[in-house]
Order: sequence, then structure tokens, then C-alpha cells
Amino acid sequence: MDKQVKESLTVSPFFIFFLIHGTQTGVGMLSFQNEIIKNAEQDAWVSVLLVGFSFHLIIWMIYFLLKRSTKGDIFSLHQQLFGNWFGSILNIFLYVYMILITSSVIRSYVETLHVWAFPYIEIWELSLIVLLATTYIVFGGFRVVTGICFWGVVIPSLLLFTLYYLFPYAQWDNLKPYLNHSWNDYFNSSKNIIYMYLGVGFLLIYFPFIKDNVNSKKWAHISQFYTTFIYFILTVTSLVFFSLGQLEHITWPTLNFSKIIYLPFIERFEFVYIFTWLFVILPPCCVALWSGTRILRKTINLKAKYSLWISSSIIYLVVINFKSQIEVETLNRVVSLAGSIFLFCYIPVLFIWLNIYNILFKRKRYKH
Amino acid sequence: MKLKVKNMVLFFNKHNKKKLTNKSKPIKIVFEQAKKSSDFHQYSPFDDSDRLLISYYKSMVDVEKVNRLLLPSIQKHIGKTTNLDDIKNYIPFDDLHIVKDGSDVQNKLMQGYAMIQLNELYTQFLAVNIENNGLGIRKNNDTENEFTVVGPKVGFIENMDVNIHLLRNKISISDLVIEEVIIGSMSKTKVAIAYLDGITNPQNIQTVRQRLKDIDLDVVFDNSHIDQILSDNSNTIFPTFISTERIDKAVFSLVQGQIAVLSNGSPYVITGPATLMNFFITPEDYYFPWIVGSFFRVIRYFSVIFSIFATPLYVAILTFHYEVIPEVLLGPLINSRANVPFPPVLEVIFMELTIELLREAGARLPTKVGQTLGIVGGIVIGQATVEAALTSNILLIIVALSALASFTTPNYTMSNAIRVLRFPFIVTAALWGGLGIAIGMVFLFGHLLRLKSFGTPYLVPLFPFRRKNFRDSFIRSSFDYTTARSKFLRPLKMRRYTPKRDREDINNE
Repeated sequence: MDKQVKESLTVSPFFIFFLIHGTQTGVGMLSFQNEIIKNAEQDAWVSVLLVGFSFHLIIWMIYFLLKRSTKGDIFSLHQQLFGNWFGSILNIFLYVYMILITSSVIRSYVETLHVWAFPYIEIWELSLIVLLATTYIVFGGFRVVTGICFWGVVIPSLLLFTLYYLFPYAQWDNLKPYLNHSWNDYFNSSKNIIYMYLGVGFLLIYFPFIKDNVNSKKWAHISQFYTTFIYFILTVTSLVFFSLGQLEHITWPTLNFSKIIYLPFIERFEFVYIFTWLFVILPPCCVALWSGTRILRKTINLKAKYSLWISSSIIYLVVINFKSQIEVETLNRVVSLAGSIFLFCYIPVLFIWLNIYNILFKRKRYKH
Repeated sequence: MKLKVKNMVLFFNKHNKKKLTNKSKPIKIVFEQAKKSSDFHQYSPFDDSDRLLISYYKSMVDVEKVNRLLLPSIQKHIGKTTNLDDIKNYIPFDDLHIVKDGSDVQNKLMQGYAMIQLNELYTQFLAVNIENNGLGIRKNNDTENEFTVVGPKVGFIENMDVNIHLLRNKISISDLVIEEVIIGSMSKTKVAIAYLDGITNPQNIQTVRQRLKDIDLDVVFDNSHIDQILSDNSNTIFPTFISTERIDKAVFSLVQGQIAVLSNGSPYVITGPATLMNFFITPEDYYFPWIVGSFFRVIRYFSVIFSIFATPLYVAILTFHYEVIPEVLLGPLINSRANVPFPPVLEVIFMELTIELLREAGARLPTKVGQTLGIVGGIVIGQATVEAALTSNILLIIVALSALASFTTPNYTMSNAIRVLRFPFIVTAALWGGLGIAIGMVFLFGHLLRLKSFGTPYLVPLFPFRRKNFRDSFIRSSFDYTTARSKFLRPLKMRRYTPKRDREDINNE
């Protein structure tokens, strides 16, 4: 039971669904199509599924690690395995990662806003209000953050129905020929889409805030499956709606295909998409900022209030310093790489190390 | 152990305090103070005043009772009277106390008791309750503020005893418990908590008890005064408890396992813990067939959304995103706005404030004048502003509709909150268009997620998610399905009733 914080602070395991799915979906959903078709081309949906299923393994490892940590989160695991000093250094790395995630999500969203809706409003102004909203939510604590994850899944889900408008225009032949690529191609495309699933990593930090967390695995897997399913649908929709040549040159395919939707009172539906997308990007922003705050608080014993403001200020400084579209893409690439290394290299290494450590440690204990 | 010591210290403090007040208020001083007021009467019904002395505030007692019942019975039996207990036997009143303490005497006098003492020197008093609590208070309330076409039109009035009577009329079991406390250093208002023993969660009851105990006020003007102090978060525009003057609504809350707080002198009863959804329920939803009831309820939710977002959307679209308007709609919009010299936000704020003015003026004026004002304001001013090209026709329609929509909310406090809410949205929409509205929504959700009512989350059953509570939230399901109490109230018994109905369908053939 000590893997859990005070009961009044926890949320029920059911909300893992919203926490994971909410943090996985983000700005990437608007533009991931042109990244994944680079190698696998019309078979890109295979890569989406491959990565999606590989994350079930990651979730399994994360639960394995967390069950064996003393306090149910990665800081305690770090300190347990590497001692206080080296553990703290690892935590700081994690903190930087969290800050980068929030910055990249906010900055990419602001970029979208700037290009599509507000060419005359400055970047610093747009990022400031989005960041302030994020900070306000995080101030409410984990339960409020979870609430926003809930709304951030429910409200944008309404947009899924609008995909219906695209079906009359679908060219199903675009998907042919089926499965004519090498494993290498699938693998290379998969690398480009890992960043769409990174939200799972936050589980390492908020795990103690889940009620009955040891038995909450079910929801994590359901959520991962649902995310894979949504991405699969989006990928297929984009592939049948655009030709490969078009997809290569469109920066925001999701927004582009939303243009086709027409209602008698709304001419350009992509505006609805763009502004509703604030609810899609908030869960990853809030959870990452909350996690960063918690890391800072746990590692250097800072008051939560100050560590939140410090984190927000750092994020703001990072965000306004990336000025052009190309710089933003660089930032995204760095985050994507860091996330891939974190989940696909560091977690398995930690997993193996924990196993070795347990064997060694147990033997030592028997000797004494 | 620590607790015990603390309790003992508290006990002693209380004791000392009482002693102090005793010393400072001898009976002589109490009466001297009272005699300064012209409505205080002290006299003996007999020639020799040594035998018996009656004192009371004439304004607080029922003079009829004194003259018809109290005096005749005393005069008749005075021969046999040797001590106060003898009077107790023949006096035709039931609320009798023997009082010795000076401050008790004072309090009882203020509550409308008559003090009978046998000899001026004796320090014992018989307090007889002959209060006249119905004086100057309306006898019945037709619930005109929360009117429904179907259903009883009996409301609470300013007298708490009558209100409790009305509650007990509907809930005729002894499980309905009423606990009374006195609040207000000057008003000494009787405040009562009502709940169903064995159903309402004891933890919630304890919270209410504790919060009422902690209240320190001079005068309790109304129950809504207590409502605000009891509230978990005072920095919010949303009401955290339901206040109602309808008996059926209060009883429904009690039966669900909520707690009601009544106070003397207020026709409103507050019930809690409440959730956002509770504020959009009217008793009529339950008096109509469930499909009709649900339909009206859904309309109410839509009207709230419309009322909050209609004008901000107008501002956002006309300021930033005119591309969104379809070609066919663009023509009429341009025509009506062609001569308007202001930016959309000023136009909207001007119009919204006009509506607010009309409403406020209508509320302050006497009813008959108010109606005239509505016509003058609504038709004349509206028509004139459009003709003078101060606003567009389309905006006038939107503003009027959203005002109309905001009045569909059954709870007056909630409807006010919704009216206030649209102004921040108009401002953010003017600054950042659609993003501003989305940001406003984020702040709104962030705020609602934090709000609590007696420690219960405000957004139940949406968050925390309670699947079964949806049976009676967005829609009002058939009575066959609303058999359980709401889980978020953590009632001790979940089941309310068991429906039995034989359906003649394929299952029973």
C-alpha cells in the first residue's frame, strides 16, 4: 500500500485510460502522416500498428519496474538502484525531458495557430496564454490534471464523427499494393512515429496517484490499444484521401482533410479542429508540467508552488526562443529522439538491471 | 489522551465563561435593562404585588394568549399556589421551564417567553412560551419564483417551525431528524439541519454540523447568507448548494441523501452536497412522462451552452475568423452590419449590458412598472438601436435569444452565474478569437474541477465518472431505472424503491 499516496489525492484506475490516451494524442496527430510515409509509403499503417503493439511490451515493463520500486515511482527506483547522488542526476535528466516535451507541444501548437488562424498575433503572446492555462490547471493538483485529461479525450472525440464526411471521397485503391515493403522500411517508418506514443512514459511518475495501482494494468493496455486504433484509422483515412505525392508536401494533412467538411453555418471546419485541438494538447502539456514539478520537488525539496513557477518560466523561455518553423521541427525531433531513447533503450536497460540487481541483492542478503 | 485533555480544557473554559456571564448579569440588572424598553411589561395580576409577578415583552408574545389563557388560569388557582411547580400543573401551556440564571431569563424573554415569579425576592422563574412567531410573516408562499404548472404550489415561508412542519408532512417517518443550532450574536437565529437518519452519510452530516458551529455572524439575514459561509470555496460565481423555496425539491434532495439547512426567517432551504447537474433539475421533469421531461432537460442544457457561447462566438468570428461564415450567410450579415461604426466586441458588450440593465431595472422596480419597462426596453430600445445603426439586427437576435436561454435555468443563483460567465468569454474572444474561447473553457473546466460542495466534487457524474448516475442527470430516465440513490453522496442505503410492473410483452408470454 505504500506505493500509493494519500487516498484523497488518488484517482480511480479507470482514469489511466484517459491519462495515457490523453497524453499520447497531441499536436503530432495533425502532421504525423508525412513522417510515416517516408519509407513504408502506402503500407505505413503497418508501422503504426507495429509501434502500437510494441508499446504493450513497454507498458508491461513499466508495470514490472514500478511494482518493485519502494514508493511506486521512478525517482524511488532510481535512488534504490543507483543511490542518492547518481539517482538525482538521472532525475534531473528526466526533468529536462519533461520540460522539453511541454515546450515542444506548446510551441508546435502555437506554430499551427500562427500559420492557420492568427498570423498577426505574436508567438510570445499565444504561447503565454496557452502556458498560463496549463499552469492554472497544474496548480489544481493531480486530480484536476486528470480531469482535464478526461475532457481532453471526451471533447475532441466528437471530432471523430466528422471523419464520416470524408468517406465519399475515399480512394481505396491508394492502399494497394498491400504489404510490398521490406522489414527495413517498416522499421524506419516506425521510428518516425514513436513520438506519437510517448505519453505512456508519464506513468512512471504519476503511478502512486492511482488508486489500487498494482491492478490497474488492464486500463493501461486498453488505452494503448485505443490509441493505436485511432492512429490506424487516421492513417488509413489520410492514405485513402490523399495520394502519396500530396501527403509528402502537406504539412498538416489532418487539418487539410478537415477542410472538406461542410456544414450550412460553418464554411471552414478546420478552425473548429484547430481550437478544439487545445483540448488535445492540454493533457500532455499538463501531465508533463505536473511531472516536471514533481521531479523538481522530490529531487531538490523545493516547494511545489515555486517549482511549478520555475518550470513554467523555463518552458516559456524555451518556447519563445524557437522562432522559425525549421527550429520548431528540430525541437520536435530532439524530443522525439529523447523519448524514443527513454522508452525503448532506457526502460529495457533499467528492466534488465533491476533483474540482475535483485538477483545479486538477494544473494548478498542470504550471505549475511 | 491529548484529545481528552483538550476537551477538558474546553469544558473548563466554557464553564468559566458561563460563570462570568452569571456574575455580570444578576436578575436585577436584566430587568432594569429590559424596563428601558417601552414594550416590556412587568406587573402583577393581583392587588398585592408580593404574591406573583409576570414579565414579558409585549411585542414578542401573543397578547391574546396572555389575556385568554394565562391570566385567567392563574387568577383562578392562585389560592392553591405555593410554589412554581403548582403553577406548572394548571397552566394550559406545554413549553415550561424553571429558570434561575440571569442570562437565561434574558434570552427567554427575548424569545417571547413570559416570566412568572412568585415573589420579587425569589430567584426562581417559570418561563412560559407564549411567543407569537407568526406575527408579521406571510402565511403561505405560492412559489412564484420557482413556478411549475404541474405539481404542488406550496412553498416555505419565513417561519422555520412551519417549514419543518411542511417537511414532516411529506416525509412521515421518524428517520427525518432535525437538529437545531443558534447562529448570530445579535439575531440569535434558529438554524436547523435536516437529514434522514440511516440514509444520509454521517460524514457529510458531521461536516455540516461542524461548519455551522464555526459560523460567527451578528445577524443572519437570510439562508443564502449561511449558504455563502458554508460554501467550500467563496471565490466562485457558481452556487455550491441548491437553494429552493419549493417543498418537493427540498424533499427530493433529502430523500436522495442530501442534507437540508433551514433557518428561521428565510423562505429558502439550502440542500447539499450539490453538483452542477442538480442545478438544472426542476420538479416538473418528474411530473411529466420521462421522455417529455428529458426533452425539456436537454433543451435546458443546450440553452445554457448557447447562452454562454453565442455572443463570444459572434465576437470571435467577426473579429478574427470571418472566413468561417458561409457565403449565403455573409450577405445578410454584411447588410445588417454595414453601417455599424463599432468593432464587434463593443457592439456586443453594449448590447449585453443593455439587456443586463433591463433585467436589473425590471428586478428593482415594482412589478407593474417593471412590465412596462420590459416592453419599452425590449421593443423600443431594440428597434431604435438597430435603426440608429448602433448594432446589427443579427446581433440583436443573438443577444435576445441568449438572454432568453439563460432564463431557462431553474435555479436563480445558477442563472445569474451563467449571465456573468459570458462576459469573460466575450473579452477573451475579442482578444484571441476562437483560441480565446477555448482558453476560457480550459479555465472554466479547471475551476469547475476544483469546486467542491461539502467535500464532494462538483462535476459528478462526469468527473469522477459515475456511470449509473447518468440515469438522472442529462436525461430523466423512467422511474423504473431511477431506483438507486446517487453514489457520490455515499448514502448508507442505495435503494429507494423497487418497481414492480408486469409488462405484457414477449418476455412474459
